[in-house]
Amino acid sequence: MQISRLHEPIRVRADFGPGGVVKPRLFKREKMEAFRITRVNSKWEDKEQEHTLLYFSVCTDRSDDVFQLCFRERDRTWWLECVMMDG
Amino acid sequence: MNSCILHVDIDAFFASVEQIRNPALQGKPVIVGSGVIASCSYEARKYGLYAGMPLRKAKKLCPHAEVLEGHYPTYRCFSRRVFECCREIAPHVEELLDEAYCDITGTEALQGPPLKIGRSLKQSVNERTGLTVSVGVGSNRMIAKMAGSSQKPNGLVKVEQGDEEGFIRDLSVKELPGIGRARLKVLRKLNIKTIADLRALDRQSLRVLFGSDGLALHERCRGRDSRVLDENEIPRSISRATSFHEPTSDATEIEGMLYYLLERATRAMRELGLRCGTVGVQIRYSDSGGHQSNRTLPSPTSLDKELFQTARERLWKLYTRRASLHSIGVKLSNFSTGGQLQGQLFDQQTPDKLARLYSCLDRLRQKFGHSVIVAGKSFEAGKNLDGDRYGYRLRTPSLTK
Repeated sequence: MQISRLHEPIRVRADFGPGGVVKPRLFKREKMEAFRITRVNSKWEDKEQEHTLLYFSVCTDRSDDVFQLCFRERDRTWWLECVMMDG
Repeated sequence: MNSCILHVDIDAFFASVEQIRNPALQGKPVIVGSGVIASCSYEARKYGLYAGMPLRKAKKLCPHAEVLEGHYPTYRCFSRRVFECCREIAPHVEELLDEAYCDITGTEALQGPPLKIGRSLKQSVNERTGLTVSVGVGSNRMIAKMAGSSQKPNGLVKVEQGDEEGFIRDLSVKELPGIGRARLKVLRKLNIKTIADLRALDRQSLRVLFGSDGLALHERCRGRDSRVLDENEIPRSISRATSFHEPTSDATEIEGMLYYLLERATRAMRELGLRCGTVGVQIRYSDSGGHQSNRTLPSPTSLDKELFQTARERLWKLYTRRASLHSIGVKLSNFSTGGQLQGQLFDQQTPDKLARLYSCLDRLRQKFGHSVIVAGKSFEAGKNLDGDRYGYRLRTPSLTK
């Protein structure tokens, strides 16, 4: 298992439901095709100042890799934190 | 009113979080740690692996295990959610790293019997985090913990009031809190194997063997434990240690790492409102075993500057050989709380001024992450290290601290 830490800004299409529920559907890295999210493995929260950071571990339709996305509530930006790859 | 304590223990914590984050790891032996195992999955335990085992040995026993360095800030997020669930069912919760004691005394009328509370807690933890916990219910914290440990993973065990002696009598003495490796050796020499065997020793004999702790053991082997739940327990010591990516003899890098580790330890200490009376430094040469040295300070302090002076002096007292260092660590102990800081008569910067400075640094780091301000000395240590807002990514982070 290899973990590549990226902290790369990405564009994400997500559903924002009542009660602060966020569900990412699709993300796009620069100069790459979109990755459709097939499964959210887990999500957890951290704090940065008074603001929340939402983390999602997701699988996509494009590879067997697992991607960790982060939604920064403060400025409503999305980041690709790391990719976990087999091998 | 009979007291009722719930002990909640997260099963194979770090490894389980990794399996939840990455489904490809589910059902596989997973090890978290570098240097030694900090946590391993139950699949790995089948091969004889356990926390604390050197990784080299673990890889021999289970060569196909997935080894991950781990990421403590992520684990902390998960444990925080578990403790939130605990606080929903208990008015009084003592939180440790991957376990919690919940005092649910007197809540039966509101929430139902303890086993029902335990079941609903397990369910809510699993729904919110995906983790499983083992829950033990007992009349005191020791019995609750021993009950939980008797059925892992994902167990739920209750020891009825009055059954405590019977429950523990046939267990091995090493299951008893307060019996470590050294004490176990002493007891083995006396052919004492079970808790029932230990009960044969009277107070006086236990006192002769183990000092004042012997009296506590006399009570514990009878299922009695008077320790109360403490939400802000004072630890015996706070340690931070790591190995270098490459063995080094560079004085600037070594001192830089010592300062960085000390900063991390003192920040944790100040968060608990403590001052320490003893500073210890431990080093390990790349070609031989470890050495350590402690120094008791003239008066307890929480100031990095004062503690670093002593730690630095200890370091150079220990580091006498012309060999590179494999690892370094710092340990703060002998804690005290409150009181005024003792100043030096001819000190330029008064302790009050420094205390305000460090408290300000702590607040900034609490808000923006440890890396928001890096001390010049620590900067030297970080030249060859990656980092994020939580700090440098060390080779062997103290995941359990």
